[in-house]
Amino acid sequence: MGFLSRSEEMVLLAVYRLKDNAYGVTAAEKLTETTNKTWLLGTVYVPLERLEQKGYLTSYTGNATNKRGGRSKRLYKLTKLGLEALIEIKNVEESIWRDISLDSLKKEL
Amino acid sequence: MQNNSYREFPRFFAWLIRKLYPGSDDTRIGDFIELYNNYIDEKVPTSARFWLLFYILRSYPSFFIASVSGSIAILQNYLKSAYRSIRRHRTYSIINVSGLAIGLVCFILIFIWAADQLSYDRFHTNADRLFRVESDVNRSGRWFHSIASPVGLSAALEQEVPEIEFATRCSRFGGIQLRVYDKSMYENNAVAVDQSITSMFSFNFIFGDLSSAFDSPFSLVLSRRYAERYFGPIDPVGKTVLIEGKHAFTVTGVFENLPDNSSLRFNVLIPFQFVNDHLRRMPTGWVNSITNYVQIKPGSDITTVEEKITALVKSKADSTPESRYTLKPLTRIHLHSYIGFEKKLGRIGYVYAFSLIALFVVLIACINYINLSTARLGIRAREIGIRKIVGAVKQNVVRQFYIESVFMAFLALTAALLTAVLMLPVFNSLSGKQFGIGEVINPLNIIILIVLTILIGIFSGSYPAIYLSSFNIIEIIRNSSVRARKKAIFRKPLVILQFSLSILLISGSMIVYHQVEFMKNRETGYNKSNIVYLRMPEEIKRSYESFIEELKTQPGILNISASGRTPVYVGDTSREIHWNGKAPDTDVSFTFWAVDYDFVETMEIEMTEGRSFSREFPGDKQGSFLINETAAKIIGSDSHVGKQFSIFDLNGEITGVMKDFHFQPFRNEINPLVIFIAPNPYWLGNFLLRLSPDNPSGTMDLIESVWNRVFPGSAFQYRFLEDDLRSVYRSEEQLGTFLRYFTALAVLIACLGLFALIAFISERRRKEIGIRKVLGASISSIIVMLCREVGILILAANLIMLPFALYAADSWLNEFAYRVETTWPVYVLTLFLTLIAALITVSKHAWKAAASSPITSITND
Repeated sequence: MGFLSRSEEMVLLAVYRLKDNAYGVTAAEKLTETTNKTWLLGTVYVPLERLEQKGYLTSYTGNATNKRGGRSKRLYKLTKLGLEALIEIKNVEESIWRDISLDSLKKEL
Repeated sequence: MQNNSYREFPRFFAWLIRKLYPGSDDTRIGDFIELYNNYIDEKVPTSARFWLLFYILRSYPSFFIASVSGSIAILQNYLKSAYRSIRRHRTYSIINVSGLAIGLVCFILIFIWAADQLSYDRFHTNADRLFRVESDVNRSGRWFHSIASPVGLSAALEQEVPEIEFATRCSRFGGIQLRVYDKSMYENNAVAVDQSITSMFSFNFIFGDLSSAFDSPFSLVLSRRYAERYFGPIDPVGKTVLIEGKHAFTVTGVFENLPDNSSLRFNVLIPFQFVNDHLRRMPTGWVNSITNYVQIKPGSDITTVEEKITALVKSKADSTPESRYTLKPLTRIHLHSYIGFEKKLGRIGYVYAFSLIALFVVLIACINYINLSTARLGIRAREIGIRKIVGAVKQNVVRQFYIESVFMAFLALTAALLTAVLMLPVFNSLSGKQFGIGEVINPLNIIILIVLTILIGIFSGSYPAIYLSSFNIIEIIRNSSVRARKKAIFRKPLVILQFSLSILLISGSMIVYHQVEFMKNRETGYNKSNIVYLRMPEEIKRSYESFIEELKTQPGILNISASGRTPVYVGDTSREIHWNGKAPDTDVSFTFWAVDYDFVETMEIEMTEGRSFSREFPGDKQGSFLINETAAKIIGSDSHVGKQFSIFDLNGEITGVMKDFHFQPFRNEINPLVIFIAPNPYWLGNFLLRLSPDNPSGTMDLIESVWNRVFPGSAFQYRFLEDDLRSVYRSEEQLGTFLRYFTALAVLIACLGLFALIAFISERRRKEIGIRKVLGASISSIIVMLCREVGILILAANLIMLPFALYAADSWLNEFAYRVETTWPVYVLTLFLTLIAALITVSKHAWKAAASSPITSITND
């Protein structure tokens, strides 16, 4: 069991969403797209590495393209532990937010 | 626009990524290349590189923060607990930090002083290729070293030795008279040089042209300071200076003043040839008489050049004693010269000594830190215990203590830098230097100081760190005082070491003070008070006697005479000496001194044999000699008066023997001396006057008015002999003052440490003291008990340091021919001083501990 920081959680989710095409560039793009904040390569590398260290992700070398100057990708995918973690997070999130709707929050403002 | 072809990725970026993002492999670089190509495809290709560079840098901070965020948190915690423990134990912390700070102040000040000493003469562009030619001459099997070499050497070297790029003669000659407009000045700092000098030393010409400065034989080059003194702040090039009232010189250049760290003091430069032809005739031929500087070509072997110079002189000189020539690097002249008149220049020995002192003081401060932190370990032990229980391993605790001591050291550094800057004016007046803030705070210093501070932190933190981290948790939590008592055994040697170093400094500074006072007050063998001497400019020498005649009858002047040198330092020696009955193989040198009538009477020198010079004996003018007792001993017969004697081409007989007196500083032994009436006035350089003790300043006014009447237009300059004699020992005095200050600081730090230590000990023994009092001990007996402990430490420190102090003092004193012989009172005094200082330091706490009520100390826990 380990703790996940907020950014680690988001990166984990992004990798899940990207399926077979999760690597540095796509992860940063995906996160920028979903959070509306700029995610740079440097920002995703550390969480990716940490998640791999903690056993939520595994990585393998992908194909090299011309566009990458002949260098291969480091592709990530979720492990069983990673999936379990996502399930747990989803459960917790939903139970925390269960009785609060976006509308009621906005009304308070 | 779609383009999928592979683009050249700048290698610099790959390198930068690898450097900035540790652990990056090809896949990461691939990521960046992909982004780079995306950018090119979508936007303007030309700015792609800038964009990428910016991207790499912009993306780095979040990477860095993310990768170290864990260690920052723990670091914050360490700093926080360091800060808290500093606040909680304010007195200890202030003592600790100020001890370190004082140590660092000493270090900083000594460091900038030493750096300045080491920087001498390095500002010349070719500094590493500039040398002074020095000679070793073999006389009767003994080698004599001097900085002199032949007059003709420079020209010959430039022509005949290929390794020599330039060579110049350099001769400082006594005073000359300069006339600018209608102002007349006496100049003592003129140097005769050759044209090559402008190519060798780095002169920075403000006015005039460097390369053509010495084209004319009547050209004069001045430093800015002197140009302003003569002409004011205008461009003086082309202006005329009249030398000795008859030679018209044209100023051809003005160079920026040489920096303070120049051992060459050039202010007025005159072509050598002119000086030789018209002012001072330098000895011709190949005898060692002046200074020559050379610049060798890059890559030349110095030993080869030295051999070539030696061979060259040998081939030119017809019959001189065996000589060797060596090259002394210009940059070593300031610190590594040990010859005659250069002794007064700073010496490498002092640089070493002071660096050692700086290290001592820093060491004492570090010991303070170690002592105080271990003394407080009982208090910190619980914190460590808790940390260990929560999961800290030994490494964590060690790191925490290191960080804490480094943190303290940096606090001390900040305080020390501030103090050092504030103390600069005092330090400048002590050292006679002009250090500014820039010398204290500059990038190089800061880097060195930061490294030193980290080292100090690690050094002083190491013992507490290793020792405290090795605790057994259970023992700490249960009972913190058991261990603490035991470890006083280790603290005592540290206190002894601290005081030993202080004792070395105390006795050292007292010895230096002693010796300086000894030299200042020692009898010179003549009456040195109320003697004043006036410089005798060249143009008045022909009529100098009229001045003496004028003054003879004036009130307030007891006696008047003249001499070549001043009695402060007479250094001219000659070997061309003969007397009746001199063994042919004796090779001695006599110091010679040209004087005028009434010299012995004016100086009040005692005669042991014969009579002094007198106008009543016309023969005295040519060929009559007085010798001193040392010379008499060398000549060695029972009666000397009437003995035939000759020195160079002067022949005559000895008319008297003077009691030995000092004509050189007390560093030097009394040499055999011969004095004679100057064969012509040009041998003389000063009037010597003995004033009556009452109203000397009124007499000086009178003398000046007579001077202006007899020699209108000539500069009137006078000095009191006693002032000059005192200023001779300036470098020793400076050493003494320096030492005193640093000693005071070292003792202060040691006492600070002791103060905190005794506070700790009496706190620890509170219960014991309480019980003793309950059982009937008196206050005084408890104070004695506490003080005895400290007294024993001080005694031990004194005993340990005594041999070292004796050795150091002796080796310094042995440089003086006349030194204080009895030094034991110094050590007794040191012992008492340290004892008193220590007892005063501990008295407050000892009293507090002894006087406190036993009830509170026993019950209160």
